[in-house]
Amino acid sequence: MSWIVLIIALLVSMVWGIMFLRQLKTGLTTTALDDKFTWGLYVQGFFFFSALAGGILTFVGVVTLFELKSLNPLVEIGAAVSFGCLVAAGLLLGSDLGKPFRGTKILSGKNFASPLTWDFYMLSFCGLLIVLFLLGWIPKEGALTTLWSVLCLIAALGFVMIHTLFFLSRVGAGFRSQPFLGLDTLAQSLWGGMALITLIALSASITPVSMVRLLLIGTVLTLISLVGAQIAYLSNKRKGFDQKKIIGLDTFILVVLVLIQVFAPDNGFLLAVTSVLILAAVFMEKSHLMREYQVKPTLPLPYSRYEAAPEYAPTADEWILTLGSAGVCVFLSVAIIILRVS
Amino acid sequence: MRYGMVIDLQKCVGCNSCTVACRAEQGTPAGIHFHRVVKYEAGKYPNAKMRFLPMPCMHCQDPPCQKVCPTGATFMNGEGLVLIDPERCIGCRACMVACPYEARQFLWDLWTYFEGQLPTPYEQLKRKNYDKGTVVKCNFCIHRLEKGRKPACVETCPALARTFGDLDDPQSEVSRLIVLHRGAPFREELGTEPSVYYIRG
Repeated sequence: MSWIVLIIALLVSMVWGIMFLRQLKTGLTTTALDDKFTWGLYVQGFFFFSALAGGILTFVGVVTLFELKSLNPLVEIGAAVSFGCLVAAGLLLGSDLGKPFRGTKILSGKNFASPLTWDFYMLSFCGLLIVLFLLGWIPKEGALTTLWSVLCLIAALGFVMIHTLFFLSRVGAGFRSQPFLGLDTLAQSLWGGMALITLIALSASITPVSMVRLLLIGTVLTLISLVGAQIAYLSNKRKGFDQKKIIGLDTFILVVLVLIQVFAPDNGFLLAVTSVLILAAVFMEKSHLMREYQVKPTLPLPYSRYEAAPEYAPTADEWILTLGSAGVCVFLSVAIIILRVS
Repeated sequence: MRYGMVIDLQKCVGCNSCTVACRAEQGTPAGIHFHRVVKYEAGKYPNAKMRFLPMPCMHCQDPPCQKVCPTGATFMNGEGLVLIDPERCIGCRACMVACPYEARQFLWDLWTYFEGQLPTPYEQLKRKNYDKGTVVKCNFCIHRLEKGRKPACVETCPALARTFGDLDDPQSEVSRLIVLHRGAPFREELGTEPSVYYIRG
């Protein structure tokens, strides 16, 4: 089964490679981006995959710190999947750059006021920590393990925090601010990470009962931050920050999880479907956040009176490249797991 | 020394000759304009008026675009000009998201003015200044300043609505106009400290 998944993921990864080469040749004109809507599906995907990587790495760090030995198989697989997600996030960010091969200039730029600089360092640090673990250089227990798990928590939560800084300048420029953005981004990351861990656990036939409860806590945290933001905007005359659909989906997930916990805590199928719904909800939120800060003209009225609100619908190329990155994520994760097992 | 510009909004007639002069001087590819004139309506019928707001890059002294640039491609020179080093730009477009004045554009492609045809000799000459996949913006015609000339938009303005000079020099014409007419930058409340001031708006 693993080999079939690996081969399919490899084929999808090859499609990514072809599309990336094509985009390199023709430039970003293959996208539906423009000067009014400068960040689109690629950056949404970057936020999505990096959020998942951060969530899983937080889980891995906590499990290692508490020495929960019954969950050790999940740590092994989780580290591999987290690495795959990090690579997919990096590839998507690379796809979004006008000059992707100049990416290393971030190192020599040393502009520590830029969230992108911190993101680059923290994501690289996360990748390094996972590689150390996958190479078997981190012992099962002891001082080094404790240090490693604490560093994992710092790195994972660190870049999740950095992702709340990306639109600060827009808020400064008079855009609506999201008062719960920090909590929302953190909660979504942990929630998505836990959902992916649940799917991994189910596929590996490891079903710790506490996963439903953990997902419930994640759902409540996420809902609280979203509903908080919605209440805050009820008093704002500038409407448009509408998260009702996402809140509706999250509420539905909460109800389903409660029902699963009460009536069918061992039902793997229901849990898997709910986990997929959670991943969809996390992606929807990332997509919404990206649109929220870009659809409104930067100039205030009346200067922007004749400006049309930008519309953005990703092109087929963007979708293929994004799904291709998901293929790379699956390929790397499965390949690492197979190599570790063998 | 800090270069700055004063724009007299009562003199501006919205002719866009500044925009055209800028395009000609900089040789920007089709679709790229370092300068634009925003038009808006003021008042209500029968006293409605069409007004114009010429907008070059504001060359802020606390520029948000410079803060977010991860490679240091956006920098400020000793004369207060916010410039881009195209060799360092990775095309992440974080500066475009950060700029509250929409002063920056991304070179999605080097489009020609005559679609489906080869670039004109002038376009060919100027195109070597532009690198697809990077961000561009107004540089106050720095190549002209180095020769002691004023930016093209200032020299071209038929209504003499623009004045250019040293904001640090209290005796300069720009400083005098700002004091005389209580000049103010656009969206001063953002705290970006622009070097472009508007008077009689």
